[in-house]
Amino acid sequence: MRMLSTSFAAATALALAAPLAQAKPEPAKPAVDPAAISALQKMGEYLRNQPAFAVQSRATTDDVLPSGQKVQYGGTVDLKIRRPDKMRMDIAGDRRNERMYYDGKTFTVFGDKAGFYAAFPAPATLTELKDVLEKRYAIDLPLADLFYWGTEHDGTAAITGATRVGVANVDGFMTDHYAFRQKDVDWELWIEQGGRPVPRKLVITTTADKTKPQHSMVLNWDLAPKFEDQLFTFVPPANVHQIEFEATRRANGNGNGNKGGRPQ
Amino acid sequence: MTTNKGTLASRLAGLTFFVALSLAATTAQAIFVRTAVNYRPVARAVVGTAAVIGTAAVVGSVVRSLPPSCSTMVVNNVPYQHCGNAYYQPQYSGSQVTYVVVNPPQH
Repeated sequence: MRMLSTSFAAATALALAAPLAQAKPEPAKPAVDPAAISALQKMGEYLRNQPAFAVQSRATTDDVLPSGQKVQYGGTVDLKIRRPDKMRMDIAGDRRNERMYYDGKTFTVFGDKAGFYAAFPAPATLTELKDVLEKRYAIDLPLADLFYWGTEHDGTAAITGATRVGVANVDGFMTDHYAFRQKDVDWELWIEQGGRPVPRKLVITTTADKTKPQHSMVLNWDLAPKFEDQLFTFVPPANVHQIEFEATRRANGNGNGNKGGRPQ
Repeated sequence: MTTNKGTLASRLAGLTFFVALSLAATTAQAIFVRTAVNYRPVARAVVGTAAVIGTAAVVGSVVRSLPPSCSTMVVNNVPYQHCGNAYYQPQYSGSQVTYVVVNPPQH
């Protein structure tokens, strides 16, 4: 009996050890799994092919107090897009409330609590608008980068690690969970399985800061939205004031001959 | 309002350069984040806070929040905040309202 149990134990030990011994010679998985990159690209292509969509983002964002303690803020962004020239965004957060409108002619940002809005004559397409907003007005469009995967403008070159973590249920949707690394930032993305590879969740960890603050978004998509045209056009309510963009003020006021430097 | 800008900004000097006004430390800043690449959660705006500066406001300087006890006045349809001896004119820096210190508006 004793002999039996000993040899059983030995056999078990051997059996457990065997896979370890076998695993050793296997080539190490590449740091950047091409399948994970490919999933990003498929997602990007799918998003670019949507003529119209509404997406709601529920986000949490860590911040760090002077004491070094990490705290979390929350907020939502409702984004409505109709290509090629309509956008509406409603942002509601612990520290921020504003709306943005683009109807193909004018871009407006409006803070209803502040009672101020600013506007400029906008280019004819969302693509051009994004460029003008970023370069001239220092306004980044949320989620925009997700749409660029699989194009020459994507961030593949910066990725130093990419792997599929597993399967996860996000708000009732089955997703593939991916993890990516790049300088100063780790990020994770949950992409819906099946025929609609939309991002369902995104977590970004800033590894450059010792508190490793995170930003997290859960995304809810409507890919067959019905939008009224008036959604995209800003009509100033009574008692609100139009003010300037700092960029416009500086362009007009810095005496470098840039007067009237309205963007186009 | 926020008194932590200076310290963190200097601590994160390497990061803050990128953080233009639109990426000020607000929720939407991060919501606005262009996915992973540009995410800078703790980086601070390069503008100051009037209350923190605490000295005479310099014309042309930009602040993110006003000192206490301001009154609103509208001159030629431009809204100003009159706080102590200084006048502040609101503007959008990125998608966020900031205030630039201006000379007294001419009626």
